[in-house]
Amino acid sequence: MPIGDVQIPVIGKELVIPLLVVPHILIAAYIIGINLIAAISEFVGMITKQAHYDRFARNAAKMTLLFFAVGSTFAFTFLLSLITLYPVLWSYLQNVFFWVLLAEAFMFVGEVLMVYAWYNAWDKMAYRKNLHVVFGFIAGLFGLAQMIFINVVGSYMLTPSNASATEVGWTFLNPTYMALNMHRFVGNFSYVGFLIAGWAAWRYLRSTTEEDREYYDWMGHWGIVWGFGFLLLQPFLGYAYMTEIKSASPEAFQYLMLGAKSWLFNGLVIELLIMFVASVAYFVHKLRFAVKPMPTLRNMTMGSLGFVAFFGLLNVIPADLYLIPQIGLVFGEKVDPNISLAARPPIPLGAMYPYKYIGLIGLALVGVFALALYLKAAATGFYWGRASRWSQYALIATAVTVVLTMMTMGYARETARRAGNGPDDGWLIYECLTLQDQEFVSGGCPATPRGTP
Amino acid sequence: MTPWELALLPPLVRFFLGFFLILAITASSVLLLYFLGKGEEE
Repeated sequence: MPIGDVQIPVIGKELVIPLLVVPHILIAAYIIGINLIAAISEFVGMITKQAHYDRFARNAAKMTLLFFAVGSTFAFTFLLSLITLYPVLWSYLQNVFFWVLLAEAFMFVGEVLMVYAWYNAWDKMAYRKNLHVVFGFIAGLFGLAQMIFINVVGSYMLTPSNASATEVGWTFLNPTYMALNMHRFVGNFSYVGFLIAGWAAWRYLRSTTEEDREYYDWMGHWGIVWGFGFLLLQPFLGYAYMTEIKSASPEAFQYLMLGAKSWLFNGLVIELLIMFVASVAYFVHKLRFAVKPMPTLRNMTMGSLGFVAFFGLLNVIPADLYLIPQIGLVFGEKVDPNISLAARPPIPLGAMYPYKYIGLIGLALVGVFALALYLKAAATGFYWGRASRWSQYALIATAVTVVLTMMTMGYARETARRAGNGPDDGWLIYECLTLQDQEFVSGGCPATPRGTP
Repeated sequence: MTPWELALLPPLVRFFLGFFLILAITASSVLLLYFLGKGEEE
């Protein structure tokens, strides 16, 4: 039976998928991260006997439950669209990854059951907290397993192994699989941390009671510690991920780093700069309210703010003035895509080596230093409920920026498959299945392997 | 894409349409849940 070629008028079928997937990912990543952070919060609350941890965990569990429904709706409609609009791709993926997708479905069931039991039993199990906490952790692990399973498919589409589709080990554990897992695992915590901070800031600014001001001030602190703490790891894990892409799909790497879509990474470093500066500025402000005054510590954090801004700006300098060709933002020559690390690009300060390395490593090291100072002050306690308005705006800025960062990086990963198949085409599965006509190619495609490595 | 579809929505316009539609869809679904859950105990 022939497969119909369904077209979506006006917007085109290529736009339908991201319209459903990106909202799904923004919500699903939130669910995975908040579930784990909430479970840890409940555990910390149980150990320390501080009520705000439990209040936070309970509200977070409720939000997880609510968002799970809408996140799953997007997942389901996306799947339906994928089957309808890209039947060849789906048929192939379903054949190769049957067990992965089956396990994924059961993870959905497991998570919703556990989250519901966790939230619903909050009062009933108030005297069996140590058992109740386990519910939250199991729900979180189901969510994490969902991500780990679907990453098999996501990473395979960009870097399919050069092996027969029946070689489960080679196809499942493809070149970027582990790097993607680590990058997303850490990213979920950072993403959710900043969202918690932003939400807390919003509620703090609208609070009318002293109790609420104290609680939301604390919640902003709790969120930024997660968000900023895990953000510090991301440049290294992202670098490892890109290195894997470089070795497995070099043209896709070049397309992203030096080609037509290199502006995505210019955007990313601007987003990183905003998140780093806003977070450290928040720390500087918060240190004024330490129970035990720490002027030296605050001055050192202020120095860190200067260094963070310096290293962040070093990253922002582009390698050339061929900025965004798609909208005509071009003021100079394009850097040679085959440029070696040691060569000088049109703007020497925008070179990857050594300036971007210095910038990224500097950001991470100064960030660790600033966070360590902040946590040292936090260990002695803060006066809650006295934060200024601008410190809360800084938290909101991190939350907005982290959403844009997720969208930038998600788009980068998917658009990388436009490389290496002519200007008007791309790949559904890299060097295997074409984008426009959904046709398998012979060379290098896992469907017709050149031999198991 | 047919030529008239391309003329109606050039790639750049489609990019920004997609970008803002994604934000609108995500924000509206989240806000809907927020208003539905509003008023419950915290």
